[in-house]
Amino acid sequence: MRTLLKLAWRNLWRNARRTLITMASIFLAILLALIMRSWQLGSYRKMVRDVVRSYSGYVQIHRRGYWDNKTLEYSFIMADSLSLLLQQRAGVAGVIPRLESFALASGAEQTKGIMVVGIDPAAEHKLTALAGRITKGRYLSPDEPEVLVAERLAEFLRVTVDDTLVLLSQGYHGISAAGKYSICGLAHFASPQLNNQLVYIPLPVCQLFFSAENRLTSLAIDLEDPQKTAEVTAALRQRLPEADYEVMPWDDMQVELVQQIESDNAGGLIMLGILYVIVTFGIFGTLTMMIHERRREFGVMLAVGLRKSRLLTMLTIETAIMSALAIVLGSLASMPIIWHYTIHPPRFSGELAKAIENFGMEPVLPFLFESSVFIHQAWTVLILTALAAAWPLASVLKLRVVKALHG
Amino acid sequence: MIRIIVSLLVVCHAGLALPEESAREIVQRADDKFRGKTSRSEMTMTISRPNWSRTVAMKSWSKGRDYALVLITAPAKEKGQAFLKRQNEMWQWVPAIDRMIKIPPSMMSQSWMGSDFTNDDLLKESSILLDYSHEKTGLETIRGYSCHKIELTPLPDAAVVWGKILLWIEEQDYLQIRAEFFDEESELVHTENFYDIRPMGDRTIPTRMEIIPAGKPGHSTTLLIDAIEYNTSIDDAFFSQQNMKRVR
Repeated sequence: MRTLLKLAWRNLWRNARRTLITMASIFLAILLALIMRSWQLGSYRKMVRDVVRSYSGYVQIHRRGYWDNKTLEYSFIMADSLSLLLQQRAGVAGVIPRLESFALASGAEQTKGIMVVGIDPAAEHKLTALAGRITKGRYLSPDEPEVLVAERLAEFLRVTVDDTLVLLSQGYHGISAAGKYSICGLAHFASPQLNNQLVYIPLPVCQLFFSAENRLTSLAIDLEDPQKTAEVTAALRQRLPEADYEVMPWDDMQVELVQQIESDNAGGLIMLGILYVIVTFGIFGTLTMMIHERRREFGVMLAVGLRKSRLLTMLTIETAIMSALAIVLGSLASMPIIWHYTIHPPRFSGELAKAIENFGMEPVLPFLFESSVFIHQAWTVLILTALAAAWPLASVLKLRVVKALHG
Repeated sequence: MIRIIVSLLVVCHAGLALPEESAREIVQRADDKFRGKTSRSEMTMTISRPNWSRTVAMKSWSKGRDYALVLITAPAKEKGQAFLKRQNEMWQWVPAIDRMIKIPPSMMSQSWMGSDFTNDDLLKESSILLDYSHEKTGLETIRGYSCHKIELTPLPDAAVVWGKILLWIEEQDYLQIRAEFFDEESELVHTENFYDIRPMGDRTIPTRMEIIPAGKPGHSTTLLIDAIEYNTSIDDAFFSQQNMKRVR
């Protein structure tokens, strides 16, 4: 076996150019597959992060029935015990209280149906970085009767900072809700849906407006590790009485996003599949050529008494060394590229950027630098190489010594 | 125009049909009795839901079919809100935001103050007299009152929301005892019951009205007349947007 190993290693460098060509095809395969996949997975991760971080949070708690019937009648009382119970859960980074409902908002002339969200300004900022979205004016203070208005909505209503916004709605138990609030700031949201209809208002002011003292419609939960969404959801479900509360992870709330990712991922996998096929045939081609070139050599070895099975083992070792080396080198080569683009994601510009922004996303191409991507792709390419090598290598077994010697 | 002709025909027909009272006359007498030429009243409305109920107090003024003004007096949060009806138009004054809001036709079927009444119920834009043909379908006893049962079918070009209305009007004193409202598929939408018949002002009328939407167990709205004065003189100018802001 040691001799075979030594032979294989020497064989590889006896014709270094041939070896390097074969390795190059594997190297390129792993490089391309890694970059492509880390970009795809990175953009999904980012889409989720953007959507979750822009509004919903990774997990939300509501009174049972609220999600299907989003009215104030399905609000609940925020008990200290509940808040404590949530804060103490492992993995929970923050509990963000909200009271949401709809209202008519009116500036001087225009009126529009909008969404009113009562928030705890500090807690909300931790989850959604809301204060960072302000384009004009300043952020909300905890209980001043002021509102923060989405930019496009303000444009539509023709109001700006320090103007008065009139809100009209129906509160808890159908009590009429009407109020005048000074606009303290305007905020920009990537999602047009949010940018056209969001009005933030401090929670106590919102509760007073809707006559829903001490009530909330939802608790958004921020997680320490977003990958643990399912675990925390399950743990919370176990702790909260099922008849009273519903605990929803982001993928239950953002069904459209999940579907969008799934369909995009299917397309991405097809692209990846095509890449794999091309690469497999490339490897197949170079290996077939190599075997063909070395027929005479094999013939000599067989003629001097090498058993075919040993010959096959030697060739397998050669291929294994080549592919392992190429995969390692390819992964190493991809790392700085992926790392670079993870930190400085490429940005779109011009019309395309606008189109992407209209879909509610930042116009960047984010990459994902994660060991799972590397491991996954390394295994895939290794298996593909094995498949591509199987037939050319097996053909050695059918070699006729005399014919091979005569070339 | 057609509507006028039709109603003229109906009137003429009713005139010819004397001495037997026509269905239309019965409805008219009941309506007149409840409405008066003018009225000033104080009322309490209780909205009941499966898990809660709340009460709204109000004052109301009306003159004929064209003018009405409602002022909310309690709870504190809604106090001072006023609703004005002039002919076919309706406005809401909301003092909390200093705004006069015109209630558009599209909001006519919306709930009024969160109750089971709609804005249209308040405005009574459609007239149970002019927009329907009336037919007596016999006598029925409801809660001990012998009543005319009258079926109202909308006239072909009337702008009404109901497919059919059934009224039960007490024989002797023309008191409405019950009403049922059906949609175009003849499904019951809601039922109105009238109770507590007693002297109020210069006449005897039902002083408690309950409206029960169909298919919503536990939902109802009760309107209680605490005091009412009929046929006092109220100037047309009383029913103005300026007065909505002033009236107490």
